[in-house]
Amino acid sequence: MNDYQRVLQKNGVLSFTPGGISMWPIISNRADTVIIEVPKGILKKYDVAFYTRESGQPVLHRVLKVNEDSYDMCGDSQTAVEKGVPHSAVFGVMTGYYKNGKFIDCRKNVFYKCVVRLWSCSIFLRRCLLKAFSLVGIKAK
Amino acid sequence: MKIKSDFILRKMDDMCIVVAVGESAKTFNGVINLNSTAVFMWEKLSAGCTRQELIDALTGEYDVQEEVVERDVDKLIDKLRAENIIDE
Repeated sequence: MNDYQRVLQKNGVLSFTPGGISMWPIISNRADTVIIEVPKGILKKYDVAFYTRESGQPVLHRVLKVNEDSYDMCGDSQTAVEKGVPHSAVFGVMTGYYKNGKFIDCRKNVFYKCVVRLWSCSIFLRRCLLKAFSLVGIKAK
Repeated sequence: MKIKSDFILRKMDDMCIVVAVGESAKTFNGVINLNSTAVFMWEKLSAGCTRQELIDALTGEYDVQEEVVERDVDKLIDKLRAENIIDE
């Protein structure tokens, strides 16, 4: 069990500033604060899951598909889908985050929900957009 | 004394937590859960107050001896100071 799991188990909630660029543009590297809660059941498509890989590494990525006993996950700035993440590997779900001092409620913010659905509707389209971004100098940060 | 603006009180369904944002988020590692009394104190400190004003507010709000309040206020302020959460 990692430290995040221990804190979540004890408190039911956790907040921290994630490192990495895999969830850009929703979450930027060491700039935004996320709020993670213990999931109440199976996650839904588009939820951001906090889970542990077989290597023990904790990861914060989005659910793109819910299977009978696993999820297919992908970071928002990524195009390779991680298939077959067991339900049991997920120990937290992001319910909100602070970006530039403003709170975005993942469960209630309509704009967030629309953006996430659009961004996640096609990996092929995402690949094209990310390529276009890099050509004009916009990079994940 | 005043709570730094990088620390935000978040009221959730069945609990209140403090979230570190901005520059403080890079150095603050922890979870702060507040019970109702602590929320009361936090809100006073967020608006800015002295130690005595906080004690007076608590003794006015709750039916409790001043010595007990003083002890709890000092305990909270010491913790907030140790975590660099308040400006003095």
